[in-house]
Formats: sequence, structure tokens, C-alpha cells
Amino acid sequence: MVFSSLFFLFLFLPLNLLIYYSTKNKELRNLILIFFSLIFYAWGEPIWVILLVICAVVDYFNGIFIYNNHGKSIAKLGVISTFIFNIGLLLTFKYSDFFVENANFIFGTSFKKPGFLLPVGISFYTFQTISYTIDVYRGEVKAQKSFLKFLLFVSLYPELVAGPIVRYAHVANEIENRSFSWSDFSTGITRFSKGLFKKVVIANIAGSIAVQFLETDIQSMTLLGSWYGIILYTIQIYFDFSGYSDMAIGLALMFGFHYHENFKHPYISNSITDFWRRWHISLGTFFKDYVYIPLGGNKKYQYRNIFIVWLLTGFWHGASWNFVIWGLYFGFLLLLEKAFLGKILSKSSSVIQHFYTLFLIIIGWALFYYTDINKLFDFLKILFCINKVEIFDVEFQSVFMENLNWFVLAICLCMPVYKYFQNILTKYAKNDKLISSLNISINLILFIISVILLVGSTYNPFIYFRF
Amino acid sequence: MSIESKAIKEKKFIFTNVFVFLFCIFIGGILFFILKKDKISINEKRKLSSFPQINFKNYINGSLADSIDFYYSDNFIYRNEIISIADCIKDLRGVKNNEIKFFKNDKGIKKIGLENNTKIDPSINIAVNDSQINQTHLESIDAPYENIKSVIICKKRAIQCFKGSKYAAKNFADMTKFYKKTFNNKLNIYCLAIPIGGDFYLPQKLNDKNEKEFIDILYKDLDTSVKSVKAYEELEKHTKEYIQFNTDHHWTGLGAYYAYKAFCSAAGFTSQPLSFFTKKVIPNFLGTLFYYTKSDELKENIDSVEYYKVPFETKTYYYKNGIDNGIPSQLYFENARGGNSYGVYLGSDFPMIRCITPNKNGKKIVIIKDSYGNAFSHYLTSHYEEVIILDYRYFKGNLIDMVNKFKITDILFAHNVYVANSDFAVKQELNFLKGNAQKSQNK
Repeated sequence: MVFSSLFFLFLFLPLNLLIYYSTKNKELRNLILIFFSLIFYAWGEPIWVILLVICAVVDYFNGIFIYNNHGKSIAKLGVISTFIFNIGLLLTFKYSDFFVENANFIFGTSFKKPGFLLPVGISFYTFQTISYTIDVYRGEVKAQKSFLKFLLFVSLYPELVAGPIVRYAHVANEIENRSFSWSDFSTGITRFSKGLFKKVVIANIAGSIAVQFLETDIQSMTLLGSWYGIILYTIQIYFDFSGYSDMAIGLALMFGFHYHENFKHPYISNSITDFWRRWHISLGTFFKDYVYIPLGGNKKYQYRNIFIVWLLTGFWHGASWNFVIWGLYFGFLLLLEKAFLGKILSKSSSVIQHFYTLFLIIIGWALFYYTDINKLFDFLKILFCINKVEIFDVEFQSVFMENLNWFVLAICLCMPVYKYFQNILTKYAKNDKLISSLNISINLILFIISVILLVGSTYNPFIYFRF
Repeated sequence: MSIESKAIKEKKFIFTNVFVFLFCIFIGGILFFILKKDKISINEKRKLSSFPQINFKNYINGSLADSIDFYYSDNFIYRNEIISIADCIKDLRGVKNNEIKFFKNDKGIKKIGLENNTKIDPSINIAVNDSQINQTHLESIDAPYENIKSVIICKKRAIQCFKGSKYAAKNFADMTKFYKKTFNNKLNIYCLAIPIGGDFYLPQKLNDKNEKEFIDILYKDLDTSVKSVKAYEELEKHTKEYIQFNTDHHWTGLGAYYAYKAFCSAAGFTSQPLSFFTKKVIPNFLGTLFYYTKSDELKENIDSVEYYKVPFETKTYYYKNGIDNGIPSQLYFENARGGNSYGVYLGSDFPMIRCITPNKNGKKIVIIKDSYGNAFSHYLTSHYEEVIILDYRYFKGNLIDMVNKFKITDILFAHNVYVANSDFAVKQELNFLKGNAQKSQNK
């Protein structure tokens, strides 16, 4: 199930809220959330919900084992077991085809690809449980004694399928004892509506236009069309991902959980280093805390550590070489900034800083988009005018103009305009009632426009239908 | 203002914010169960999805959840009205170009180019390799716009933008040759590739004779014993006349008439003058491309279906299954109205229609066609004793049996360029010779 579906918005969510808040019993509320989370996950993936539960069982016992043997070397066995199990799951379900394909290519063998379907959210929940057992091993959190509460942590549906990667320490108290607050609930609604708007009104539209320019055959691409396409993809991926995170954070607030921020307007970054402090923060901190620092951080073999972290970051995003290239590309840029580029940049004007950063981010998304390496290089040649194509054509002109207002809106929303206008409003509007009414209206408008466009997207006429 | 009163006001804001949101989602959810649901969407020309059957198998493979999601969104409260509002919001996205508008089918886009990888050799195996078919067309068969990759509105006329594949042209040509061989050169085989208007009505910078290029390649690949029908050249002379609908993906009765003239030239007949037929008109026709683009400017260029009736009686039958048990029918369904007005020709895409004419010349033709053939087929009743019309998507019988049973003398492939460019059509029509053509899921 996805948040941006009518079924979720008008049936699943109200039912969940109604049943959840019909009892004050905390244990029962946890059970209700587990029940709805498992239904949510099993909605399209009835088989893989078993994998999720097995994962929770294994890491629950590992956590207890580590906790009971805290300080003893035997505790490491629990961590090793967690690693073997979770990384094993990822290798099997996410990477086995990739490895077999490459082995066949290198060794000339012809092993059959296992062809597993990727269970939704596996990259997120395996990382959550890995972080849990490591934190227990490090003594940073106590092991959760109740399996149901642990299952709630692993399966909680707001973050289950697309993050953010929630650390156990952040929600441990709230799993045990969370209090209801109207203020949180209201903030959650505002956040959820914003996220839904980002997903439906910006990301979905950006995606539908981008594909026209990125999926067309190379011969009919144009220079401006290609740049437009990849900029749209840049918009799509940010609003899609951050919209989903906003909805997750908002939903969690409705149930009394406080998640950390996952995106902080990454496209206003003034360097690549800054970008990665603002983009998918929960993944960045995961790799920093569990890979970079244990490897020695910036104290020992820093360049090697950076290389490993970005190799893994790229590979985490998908089982294809272009993701590895994408990860290493950013690793390389970060190294350059650490070595000398950062100093040069800091002395440059902010226009140059932003242009430099955005340019490299956009090129990065081209690496990310094309899983076919040949097509990627062909596309890059067009972007950099190595392959001579038309500068633009009538189609680009027409599509660009037809979406101009929307495009300007999308670009503006990449910047913290919402916060900016809120500040202006608070500063100049004397009437509190007016501010409140405006805020409520904005939330409502965002939500209603999103729903209207969701319904509009179900228009699906058949040309060749016979009544 | 005191801190206390500020806190009260903030509380009021919070409660209202929560109340408004909860009201929306709860009322939306409740009304879904209360309000009556439509079964058919007239605008979309399709049945709205009904609640799926619940069983273990479709639960486990995930299709039950998908079907319920689909059911819920298809039957969402006030869906038609909300879709209209969504269209208005869509118009706010930018500056409208009144000259040219693009409507791309992103479901279809990814399929471009795949056709280039498929090739068949009918002399080795008459059935196209299934896995190739799966890669190319069967996966798109359920897609509503299988054949539409891009629609352009230009000067208040909606036109599909076609791009063909030379491999597909070769496949189609090879298929017709295989027919010739199968019937031991005893039958006259004709091939009519029908342009769809892009070459005639789109600016050259958008469509540089793409249809002509494809048709030329196809005709060049035809075996010399297969006669090509030069409809393109005939239609090209009449582009200022009403030969293609403005809002529909079909040609008009007049367009089909010019193709009929070209057919007569290829077959050595003298074509009937247009005045031979009785002209009738069904006004106010907004066709499929209007519903695809929902562009209001097309309403300013609304179509009418002008059809030219043959001035003699025929006995017409349609066949639901196989080649036996014909059910009495008619050549023209003159009560067709509204969006269904093109149905005046033959009523619909029946698997098989058999039309017995007053002629007694021993000539009997099978026309294997798509929906473009509907407007065309009736003209041939002037020259044949029997005209049998097969729809390549729905016919399931054995063509060899039919040729023997009805003593067929001619076969005509009458397809628009999209269909001639399709592996699915080739596969279906090769399978006619084995009698195992699959019934298309395509609607």
C-alpha cells in the first residue's frame, strides 16, 4: 500500500485512527498499530510479510542475547548473527541477480539468475534492525524485552517501506510510553498534507513529463529537452522521496512518535558536503555511525573510509553498476572538497557555490537514472554537446510552456519558501485569527488538490472498447 | 494579548485543523459506502471495475490488493466531477499553445524501440516466437492505449504521431507472402496499409512522412505476387477534403472511399463513383482522441460521421465463434450516436461478418482488418458475391477451412499503419492459418 492512494487516505487511515484512539490502553494501542502495520505491508506483499516477521524474531533474540552478555566477547556473536542474517537477506533478495549476472560475464559461466522479487522496504527495515543490535552491543540502548514492542519498532508502517531509517534509540521511549497531544496530531496533519502535495502535485507530474524526455530514443533527443528532462527528474526524486518522508513523519506524529528529519532543502546546498548533510539524513548518519567511524573516520585511512562508505551508499540504492558509479562519484567529489575544493569554494561567491553544487547534483541524477551504461554515456554526450543534436524542438517548446507555472512552483518549493512566508506572516499580520485561518486553509487546499489530482489520475479511457 | 488567551487561540487553531482533516477523510470514507456506484464510464468507454472475487490465490499473488485499490479509486465518490476539476487544475500548469499540443502516453513510451529486435522467418516457423511477442506486445495488450504513443493537437485536430519499424514492415510482408504460399498461389492476395493522418496534417518538423516511409518499406518487401493497394497516394490527393476525423483516430467514410478507389485500381475493377452511394450523416461526434486528450478546443471542431450507403440490399451475418452459425446482422447500424457514432459501420468489431451481395460473379473476398476496415469493407460489396470481414483481434477460426468452405478467391489485409507495424497482428494472422489465434485481451 502507498500513502498517496485513495484507499489509504479514505479507508485505511481513518479506520486505523478510529480503532487506535477508541482505546486508551497503551498495550492495546501497540497491538492495533502492529496489526495495521502488518496489513499495510501485506497489502501488496502477503508472502514477504513473513520475512519481515522472521527478521524481527531473529533480531529480537540477538538483541536479548547481546544485552544479556553485555561486556563479554560472546556478545559479538549476536552482532555477527545479525549481520549474517540481514546482509544475507539483502544479498539474496536484492543483489543475487546482479552477482550472478556479473559472474557469468566475467567467468563466461551461464548460471541462471535467481530472479527474486525485491520485498518492499527490505533495505530500510534490515538497516533499522542492524542499527538496533549494534546500539545494544555498544550499550547505547537497552534490549527490548517484549517481542511485540520490538515488532512494532520494525514494522511501524509510516516508515516501513521507504524510510526514514528510524533508530531504535529515537523511538524507544515512545514505544513504551507515548502521550497523546493535539498539537502533535495537528502538526502531523500539516506535515502529512505537505508531503502528499509534494508527492502528488510535484513528483508525479515531474515524473510524467521527465519520462517523455529521458525515455525517448537518443536520436530524437534535443539539448534543451535533455537538460529539461534531467532537471525534472532532479525535481521528481527530491519531492518523491522527501514527500514520502514528510508523510511518514506526519503519520508518526498522529500516533505520538517523533521521527528525526530526513531532508533539509538539499537543493539549496552550497557544496556537495553540505548536500549530503541535507539529503536522506537517516541513511547518511547510518553509514557515518556504523561504517565510517568504526573504520577509523577521519583519524585513520580517511580516504579509504570515504571510498568504502560511498561505494556502499551507491550499492545500497540499487543492484546495478550505475548506482555504484553514482556513489563513487559523490565520494570522489567529497574527497576533492575535503582536499582543496572546499577551501576554494568557501572563498567564491554564493552564486558560484550554488551553481557548482546544483550542476553536480543534476549530473549525479543522470548517473542514477540510467541503469543502462551505454544509454547513460549517450545521454551525457548530449548534455555536454559532444553528440551534436538539435538545440530544441517544437515538442520541448510546447511541453515547457504548458508546464511553465508548475515548473516555477516546483523550483520555488525546493527552497524554504513555506518557512519564509510563515515568518513574514507572523511578523506582519497583526491578527492571529487570520494567521490561523490561513494555515488551516493552506493545509486543506494542499490536501484537497492532492486528492483531486489523485482521482484525476484514475481517468483511464479505453480506445478499443466494445460495450 | 495575554499568554493565556494566545494559548486558547492556538488550541482553537489546532482543534480546527484536526477537525477539518478528520472530517474530510471520514466523510470521504463513509460516502464511498453509501453513494450509488456507476457501472460504466461513458467518457472512458469502459466498465468501471467491480469488487474482485476473494480467494486465496489472488490474495497470495497480490492481485487481490491491487484489484481492491483499483475498485476503490474507480468508484471513488463524485469521480467524474472530480476528474473535471482535475482537468481545470491541469490547465493552470502553464501557458497553452493553441497551435500544437502534445499528449504522450508514458505507458507506451518505454515500448518504443523494442519492436526493432523482433524478426521472424515464416519459412522456418509460422508462429512467432512467444517470448519475443511477450517482450513487445502482449505486455502492452492490456494497456488502454496500446497503439497510441503520442497524440498531437494541431489546428484543432487530434492526430496520432506514428513511427514505424522496418523490421515490423518486413515481418508483415513476410506474413502476406506466407499466405500466398499456403494457398498455393491460387488466391489473389492484396495488402492495404492505411495512413492515419499524421503525414497529411502534422507539420513536417513533427512528422516527416513517417507513415509513407513505413508503407513504402512494407510494399517494397511484399512478394511480387501480393498486390499492394496504393491508398496513400490516392488519399494524398484529397487531404483538403474530409478524409480523417478531427477528434477520432479513424478515417472518415470519404477517406475509406478513396482507399476503395485505390483497391479497385489494384484489383482491375472499375470503381463506383461516389454519387453511386447514398450519403447520410450522423452529427455531433466527439471521438476517441477527444476522450484521450480531453482538450476543449477539439469541441470547436466537432465531427460528424458521413457514411455512404450501398444502394442495394445485402444479407449480412455476424459470427461470434468460428465460421458456423451466423447471426443475422446488417452492414449499417444507423442508430449509432454520440461517441459511438463510428459504430454505424458494421456495428462493432465482430470477430467475423459475412455479407452476401446480389452479385453472382463467383468472386469472394476475405478482408482481414482492424477498425479502419469497418468504414472500408462495405464498398467492396459492389464487386464481390461475398465479402467476409475478419477482425484480427477477435477472430478465432481456421482460415484454411473457411477458404475451402466458402470458396474464397481473394484475401485483403486492410490495416492502419499502427497495426501493420505490430507483431501481435502478425502473430494473430499467422495463427489464423492454424486456427489457433488467441482472442485478444485488447479492447
